[in-house]
Amino acid sequence: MKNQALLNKKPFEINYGQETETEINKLVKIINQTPTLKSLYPPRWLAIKLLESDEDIAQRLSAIPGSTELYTEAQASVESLKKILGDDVDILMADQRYRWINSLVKEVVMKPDQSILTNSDKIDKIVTNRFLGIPIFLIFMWIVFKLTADVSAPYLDWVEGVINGPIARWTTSFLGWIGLGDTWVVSLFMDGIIAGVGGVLVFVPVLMFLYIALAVLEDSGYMARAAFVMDRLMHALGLHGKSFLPMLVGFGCTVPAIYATRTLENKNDRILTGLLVPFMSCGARLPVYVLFASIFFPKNSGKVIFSMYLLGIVVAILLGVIFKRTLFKGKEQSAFVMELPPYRIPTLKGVWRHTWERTGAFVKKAWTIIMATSVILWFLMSIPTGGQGSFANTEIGNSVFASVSKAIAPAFKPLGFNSWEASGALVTGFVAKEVVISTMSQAYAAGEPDEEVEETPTFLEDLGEIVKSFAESTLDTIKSLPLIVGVNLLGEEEEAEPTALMDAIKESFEESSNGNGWLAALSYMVFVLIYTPCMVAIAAEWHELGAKWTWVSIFGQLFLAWLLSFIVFQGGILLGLG
Amino acid sequence: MKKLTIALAGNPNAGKSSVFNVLTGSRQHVGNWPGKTVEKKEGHFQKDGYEITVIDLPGTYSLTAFSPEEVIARDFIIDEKPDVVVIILDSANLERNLYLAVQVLELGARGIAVLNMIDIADSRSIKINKEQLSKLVGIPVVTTVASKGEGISDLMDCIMNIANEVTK
Amino acid sequence: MIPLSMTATGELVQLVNILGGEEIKRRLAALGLTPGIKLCVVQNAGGPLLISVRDSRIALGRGVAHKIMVCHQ
Repeated sequence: MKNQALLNKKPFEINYGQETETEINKLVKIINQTPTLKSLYPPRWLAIKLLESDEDIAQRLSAIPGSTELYTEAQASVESLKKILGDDVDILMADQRYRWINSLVKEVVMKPDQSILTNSDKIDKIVTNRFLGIPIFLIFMWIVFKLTADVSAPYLDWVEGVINGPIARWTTSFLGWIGLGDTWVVSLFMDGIIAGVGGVLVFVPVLMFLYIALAVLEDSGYMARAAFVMDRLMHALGLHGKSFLPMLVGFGCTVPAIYATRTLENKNDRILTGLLVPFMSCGARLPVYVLFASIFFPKNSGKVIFSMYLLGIVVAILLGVIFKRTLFKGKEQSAFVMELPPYRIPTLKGVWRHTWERTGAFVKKAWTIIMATSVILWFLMSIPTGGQGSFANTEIGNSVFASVSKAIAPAFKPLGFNSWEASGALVTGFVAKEVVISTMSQAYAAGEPDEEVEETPTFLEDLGEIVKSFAESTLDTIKSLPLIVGVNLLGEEEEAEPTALMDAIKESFEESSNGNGWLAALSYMVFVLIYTPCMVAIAAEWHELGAKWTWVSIFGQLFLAWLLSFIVFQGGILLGLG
Repeated sequence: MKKLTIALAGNPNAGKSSVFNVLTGSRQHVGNWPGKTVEKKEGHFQKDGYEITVIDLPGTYSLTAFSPEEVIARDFIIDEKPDVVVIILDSANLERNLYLAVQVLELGARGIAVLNMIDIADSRSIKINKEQLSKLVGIPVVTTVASKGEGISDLMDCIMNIANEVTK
Repeated sequence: MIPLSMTATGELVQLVNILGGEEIKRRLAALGLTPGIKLCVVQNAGGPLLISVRDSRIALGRGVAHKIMVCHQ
């Protein structure tokens, strides 16, 4: 045997001082006489934990036969030590350990005088400064927000393009090749499965950018400073300093925002933040506001849209305060105690690994739930009712989906919008807010003209196109970086005005609300703001908060959405605003 | 092939995940600890005829029972009895980091102390006598800069030495 | 003896004891805040405090700082 030290033959022990050692030995003796205990725990360690009044150990001992004597004896020891030493035994033992370490460190470590300011301290003088701290924090948060919202957009388009273009074409050809062309299977794959897969994959670029940003903030050590700086403000709302980041990310997309709650250590803080995040109006809800505001409030559309965002924030703040006093009352809110690690330059490898791991976990967890919902929705839209049309070849208005929408529509009567088209759009909006408008245009049959059949590109052309468009997205991403500071190099997107759809919506809302169309529209927008953001967000909540809180969140949001829309619509009429 | 289980313990911010990543490369599995929402990372590597499983224990400052992370870490050491517990220490902040190390050793675990981020300690002119530290604590000590992969082969040698002792 | 929250930036003080529950006491002890330890108040400018203890920087919410009793040497 070449190295005696390696074997660690002599057990490691710290001397806790004469009085404590006497009690430890007393307990060790009892433990050694109880075989059931001796085999489970190292005797000296168990004795120490008992003197420290460790709850977990006490609880486990109660299940072990023959431990009562030991437990009673331990409590007597704790009492007598408390009398002799005059303080909590566990704190004194912690102190003894630190004393032992302190003398060890004195012997093996040589260091310069403590008064030397490290680089970290110098950076902290600025970053945690009372006046500069918050502006610096806001700049960083702005960058994170822009990265997830804007810079990821070109990749998002690329993913969408690849799925709806080449992947969709290959699937069609493949199905044709195995003899299933022109059957309902094609429609199932196109409108059900591929739409579902696409629904998951489009989130990948957004999440990757978020995770890159989070990894850099965490690995550099800034995250702890951010919490320090924001603690005062968030504390007033009953939240933790670290809750701010998920809230902000929520304005881009609820899904990464829910995953961002992971940076909070305390479970209650994590759940509370996770419940509030969905009220931050995400990017996908914006087109709905824009459409409705331009139909019903053409002169004040900006103000109306802004007030939706504001309403979401106010709801979150009020709910936060209410939850803190009810659901989370008495639950320990973790005291703000946190180490500020020294600043470090994040490594590329570390950041990449974080990003990859977390994005992969999302895809793995999310795809089943989303695929299932899309397929179910497809079946609902494909099954005809009342003998019109055939399976997978039916007008949406004659499908089971329309019947379901008609069945739930009366629930929205008091809110001013009980047409099946409007409620149907809310049903698909449950899956993703992006499809609210497309469902409406399908349902109001103000649909887009059929796309012209293009010449089908070959497999190689498709592959080439995928690579080429990826390169273009990368270029666009680089071009979009200046967006972070508000410079737009991308050029404005053209937006076609779906006038037929706008007229149809206006007519339908005026009719369902007895002429109070704009109130109904406002109520509809409020509903879209408050109810479930999307299926992927539910999957994320399930993943992060667990089943129970996910249900609380879903039903709570539905109830609140209905209530607030009711107040808006009926309140408006009562006030004679209609 | 002979099997060996090692656990990594350390404070948050001590560079535990860097050590884990260089040891296991891409052979990792991320899951949750049974019944908990705490992330469990497990990885593997092979060396000198050993299949070595590496468990990344949750980063904690202590091993009391106040957070699920602490209970998970200590239960693993008590119940699963890993062959070695590699204790990752931030060299520039040794005193606070040793507090966890002491508690791991009190549990009767066979330990290796890793003085990680030794470059930062150097840059602050903090000198650590690692032979003396090893002698006083009674466990082997290696220095590393895990984020750059420095010192990892020393750590592996150290693990293999213990492996040979364990299986002898 | 005064609460840590009443100290000024730059002061060097000694921890006397911590008022409050077991949990917070143990959490602070794990971070090296045990009775008798000397600590430096790096920042106390409203909101949470920043202290330096045993070579590490620890942020403490005001609520916690009210419960940590310290004395000048």
